[in-house]
Order: sequence, then structure tokens, then C-alpha cells
Amino acid sequence: MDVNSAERNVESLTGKLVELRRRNPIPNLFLERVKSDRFGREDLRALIRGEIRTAEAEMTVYALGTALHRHEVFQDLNTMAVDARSHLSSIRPLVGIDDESAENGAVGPDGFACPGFLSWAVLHCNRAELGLVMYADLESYGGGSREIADAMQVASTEVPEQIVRYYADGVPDGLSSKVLGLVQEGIDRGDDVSRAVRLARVMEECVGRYWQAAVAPERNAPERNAPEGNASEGDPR
Amino acid sequence: MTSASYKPGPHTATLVDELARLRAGEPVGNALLDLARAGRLEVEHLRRLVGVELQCHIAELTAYGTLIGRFPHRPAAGLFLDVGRLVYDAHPKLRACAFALDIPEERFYRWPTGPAAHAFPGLISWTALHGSLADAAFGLYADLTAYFPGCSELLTQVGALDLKVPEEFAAYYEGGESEEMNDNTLDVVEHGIVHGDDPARALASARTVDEHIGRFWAAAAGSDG
Repeated sequence: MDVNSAERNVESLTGKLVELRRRNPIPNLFLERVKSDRFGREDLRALIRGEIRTAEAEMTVYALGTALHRHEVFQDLNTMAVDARSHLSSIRPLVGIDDESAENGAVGPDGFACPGFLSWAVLHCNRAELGLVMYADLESYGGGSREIADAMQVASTEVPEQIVRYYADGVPDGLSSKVLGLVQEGIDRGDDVSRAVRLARVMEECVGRYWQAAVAPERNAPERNAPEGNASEGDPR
Repeated sequence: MTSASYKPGPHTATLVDELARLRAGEPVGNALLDLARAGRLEVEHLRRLVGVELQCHIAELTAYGTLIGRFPHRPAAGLFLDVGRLVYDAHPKLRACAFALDIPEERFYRWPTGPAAHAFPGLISWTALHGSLADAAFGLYADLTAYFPGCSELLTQVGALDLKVPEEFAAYYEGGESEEMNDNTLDVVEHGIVHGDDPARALASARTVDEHIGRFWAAAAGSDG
């Protein structure tokens, strides 16, 4: 889905993203696991390991974003990431993750989807693209995490209160709107936004993979073989 | 493959053996070769491969430049300059291949997209920003020793299937592996470990690269598992 030059405003971009979500929703497999009450300590451990990995990457990405784009929203984003890392330090022992196991071990592509894509985005995106990617991340992760907290509260499997609170807190209020200010600034400066929606959609798909990585060994995932695209693709011809 | 006379440092020799053991015990699949062996490989898959590869090149150039910035000394900087040069010099051949396969230029660096197509560019970007020297270099060793043999086997399969591909495709995908570069890569791994890098993390980095190379082939095959 390309965005033509007549639609260079934030509302148009977010509207297209919402429309893609509506037409082709991305499942949150961890939420489904919690809702069906088929989760345990191993799932929580995988989930928290993913949170640690991503929070640390976010600290790098937002700091680099500050250096490259000098926009105050990166301060707010970095505060969010630092706070998350601090909370995760106290949550980690509750699910049996020590320092070493938090850092070591090969990570499959689904577990790396968010830290990897964000790292790529800060190095390769213009500010409008990066802003829309971060907006998609905040919206999809924030919404998913609040739903997970709600489901944890009614599940019969006991979840430590700190973990429920971590997910209930989700993303700070107003942060998504501030990130859209970065998008608008990029548009006003003439950034090319023709691939922005597509990249934001990839971010949302990566968040889907993030939740998926917490519930299933990736190599057991079924494979399809048709040369078909996925929801974020356009036809190449 | 390393040179016949080459002997890696003691820490790295252990890592190379361990990586070979892990690869043998739990091989990462190649969805594109699976299609070829099943007789279901189509030119469209090869177009996708080139589309993914174009995006990888840009991410690789950025990553090697970033790594030179983080490790601007011998022997690390020399290695990343060499591998960056390899990608840089190969890029015009890849673009020629893309044109010959009728990929519209406006789709270069944009198609295909999705988590699988972005997996390797994401990993190499993350590694450039977060990895230790040994992580980056042993990851590169995994990349070189998984990717080039995969390309060679793909060309063999394309020939066996008698797929009609432009000569630019073979020109790009034949050859490429350098024993000297593999040797130099392992020297940098040893240098990193001797200077305090964690060998266990370097091994994990290499296996993570293996997994992402698998996703690279899957993106071309359209089997984003």
C-alpha cells in the first residue's frame, strides 16, 4: 500500500494503518494462551526474557534517535525503556531468570523480531517513518499488554502481582500522541512517507511475533511453501 | 571453509568445533532449497530472493560501517572494511540481476516486506549496535559459511530444474566464498575473546545468525514460518 503525495498528513497515515489492522488483524498468541488458561512458569519466563531483550534494545534505539533527530519525544521514550528495565530487574527473579540466563542463549527470529526491527529502523528510517514505526509499536504492544494483564487477573493460573501490574501499566498515557508529533515534523520537513505505513505494519507484525515467541518453540512452527506475500506486502509488478 | 594451512586461535577453534556440532545436531532448514528439491521452485521465488538480498545489502553496509566506528583498530576494522567492500562491489551485480528478473526499480529496497524479509537486516543492525566484537565476527563467520554454500547449492538446483533464469542471476550467485576472509574473521573472533568477550555469547550469536539465514531463505520461498 503506497501513500501518494496528496496524503501527506499524520491522520492519513494512521488511518491506513488502522484499516490494515481491521482488514487483517494480527493475533496475540500469548493473550490467547492466557485466556485459555494454558500457560505456566515457562511461558512467563520466555515472556520476561523477551521483555528484557527488547527494553535493552529500546534504550539504544531511543538514545540513537535522540542523537540523529534531536526530538524531545526520545527522552520520554527512553524514560519508558529505563523504567521498564528497572521493573524487569525486580520481576526477573520471580520467574527464575538469573543475570546469565537473561543474556545468553541463541534467540530465534521471532524472539528477535522487535529488537531487530527497531535497531534497523533507527539506522535506516527518516524521522516520519521512524515515528510511525514507533507509534505502531506503542499502540500494538500497549493494547496487547493491557489485554494480557486483564486476562491474567481472571486466570486460575497464579501470576505474580508485579507481572500483572507491569502489563497493566502498558505504555504511558499520551506517549503515542507525542510520537505522532515526530511524524508530523518529518512530513513538514519533506520526508518521503511512501513506505511509512508498510514499515509500521511490519512493526505490528513483529509485535505479533514477539508475543508468539513466548509461547512456542519457533522451529516447530508450520511452514507454508507458496510464493505468496504477507499482509504488509504490495505487489511488485 | 578456511585455508588448508590456517589454524584458528585456541578459543576460536573450540567455538568452530562447537558450531559445527550444533549445526550437525540441529540443522537450520533452507526453505528455498526444499522447494527446489521438491521440484516446486519458480522464477518468482528467485525474484523474491533478489528483492530480499537488495535490502540486506543496505543493512550490511550500515552495519559494517557502524562496527568500524565501534572497533576502529586492527584487526577488526580491516575485516569490516573488507566485508563491506565485498558487499559494495557485489551490489551493482545484484542490481543488474534485479533488472534482468524484471523487478521494477521503484520496488528495489522495498519488496518483499514483512518480518521474514526484515529478519536478517534487523539482526545485523542489532548486532552492530549491541554485539561484542566476538559476537559480530563469529556471527559473520556463521553468515559466510551458511550463505555461500546455500547459494552454490541453489545454482545447482536451478540448473537441474532447467529454470530459465537470466545470466545475471548466475553471475551474482556463483562463487563468492573466500577462505582468506573466513580466516581473517576467525582471527578477529580470537582477538575479541582474548580481550574479554564472552565466547558463549559469540557462539549464541552465530547460531542466531544461522536461524536468521534460515528466515532469509524462507522470505524468498514465501514460507514465513
